[in-house]
Amino acid sequence: MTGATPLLETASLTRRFGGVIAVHEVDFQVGDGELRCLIGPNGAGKSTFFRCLSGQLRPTAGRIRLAGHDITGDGPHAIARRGVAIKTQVPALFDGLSVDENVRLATWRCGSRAARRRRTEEVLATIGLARQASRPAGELPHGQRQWLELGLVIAGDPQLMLLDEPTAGMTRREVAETADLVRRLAEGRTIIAVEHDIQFIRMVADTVTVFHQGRILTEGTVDAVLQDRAVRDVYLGHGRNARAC
Amino acid sequence: MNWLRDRTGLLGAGVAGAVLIAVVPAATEVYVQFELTLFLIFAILALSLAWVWGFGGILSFGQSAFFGLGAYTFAVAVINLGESTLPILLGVLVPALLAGLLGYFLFWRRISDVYLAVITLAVSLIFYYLIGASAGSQYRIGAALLGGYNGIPSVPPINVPGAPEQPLVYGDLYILTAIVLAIVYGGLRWLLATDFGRVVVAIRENEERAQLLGYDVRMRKLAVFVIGGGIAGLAGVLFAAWGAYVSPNVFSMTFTAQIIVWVLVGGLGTLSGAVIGCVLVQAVMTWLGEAKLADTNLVLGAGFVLLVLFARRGLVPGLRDLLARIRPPGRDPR
Repeated sequence: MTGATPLLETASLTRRFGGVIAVHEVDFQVGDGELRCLIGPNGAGKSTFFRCLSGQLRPTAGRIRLAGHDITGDGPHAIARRGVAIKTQVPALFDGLSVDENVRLATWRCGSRAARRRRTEEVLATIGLARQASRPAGELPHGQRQWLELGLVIAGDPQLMLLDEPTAGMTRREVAETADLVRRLAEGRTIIAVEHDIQFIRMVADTVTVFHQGRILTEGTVDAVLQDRAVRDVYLGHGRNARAC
Repeated sequence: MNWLRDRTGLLGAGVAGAVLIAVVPAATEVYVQFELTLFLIFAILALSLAWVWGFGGILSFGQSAFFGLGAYTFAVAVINLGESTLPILLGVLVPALLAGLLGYFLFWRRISDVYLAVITLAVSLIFYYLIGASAGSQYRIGAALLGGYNGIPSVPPINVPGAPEQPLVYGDLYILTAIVLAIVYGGLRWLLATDFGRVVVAIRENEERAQLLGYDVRMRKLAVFVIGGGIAGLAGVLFAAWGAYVSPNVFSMTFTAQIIVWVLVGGLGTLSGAVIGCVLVQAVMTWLGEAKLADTNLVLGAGFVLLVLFARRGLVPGLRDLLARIRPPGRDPR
């Protein structure tokens, strides 16, 4: 954590689904301006943890504090209004609306129509979809849908961005472009990204947090975490000497 | 091409409105205007569902409840007051309030789409049986006897505001209804062009994403539902004044389903489609009823099956798709 006080903090955060504990008493902190990656095998609880942070799921127990405010149990729109934006695992877009309209809907914080128009154009240029502005979002190929959703996330200039697998289904070139985009977006912002792609993680992350069975297994720099014996065991099983992720 | 398409639609609606208001009264007999008035009243009701369902994404079987409540409120109030201005306002406000109350429980409780449809249907049927059980002299509100399944006869007409001695006769009511239809249609189009309207459509497209952008979905859905309830109530007011009669049949399952058929035939997600679908279906039903060529419901059912097979999205979107296909290549297909 780089900041003096954490921007986001969870204390004993727990989420159960019946008898299954998807997130188990997680104490997590991320500092202002930090770019953190969350990794872990499938089913480790990363996405559920994200959905608790964004208000899509109500935690079963524990607290969430954002910039000193308790946001535990707040709805998604209330948390979004506090400056938290999420990019979901499967791009959630307004498929029947144009790319331009999608972004414009995300600029409501900007004030006047003219300001919203300017912000929309800026965002479209940033995500490289200015030439696709009039195209329905539902017609975009997968990689561009991911970028458009990133555009929706950044359009409101949030203080905390949650990116759930931003490179899922992308080609190597698109992954590199997305990493470059996320690095640029990270300037002056706090980002937490769930990701499996080690190339992407190496390119963007300051610190990596490893989830396993709903708990935090370890935390540290990318290299330190990838060399960690426990992490390699979690990914590849005990006694196997192979590279994590 | 979007701006051209939008303006073509608006121009078409404007021409249709001008013909309805200026030409029809001069060119037709009173009985034709009487029949057309009913079609236009139903078109207003169809617009209420087109707005709530087609743009708000809320499948409401309750539009008939709001329609009937508007009709009954107007009938009871105008019988008691003897003047129509306040009863008209009440006929809009009371259904809108019911929609607000119902919508609060539906949207704040996060009732899913299917259950919402079932609950709104149940509300209509509750009104049907409740009002139906109100036969007898003990069931009266002031001077108005509710009359059970026989309904309330001799509902006084709409009059010039403040002048009950000047009622609107058939031709006048036709013009008033056509103007109301034009205002409702234009008002909804305007609403859809505002930021509020854009967010409403966005919620229909992806409710979760709208929430994640910071929009209070519940509040906007409630607003959509209340506006739709008020419009349906207004149609109910005109209906009670048109026939000088209202009965529990306005809450019936058949009538509820009929509204949905109008909107589906015209095309979900369009306003003009709701008006066209309603007028077309009602005209065919009337013609079949008069000509006695075949069973009305059988023909309508067959027509609906054909529509689902060949123009699944309804007449207006189907026509748009057809025009897009026959346009010369190289032009924007949308």
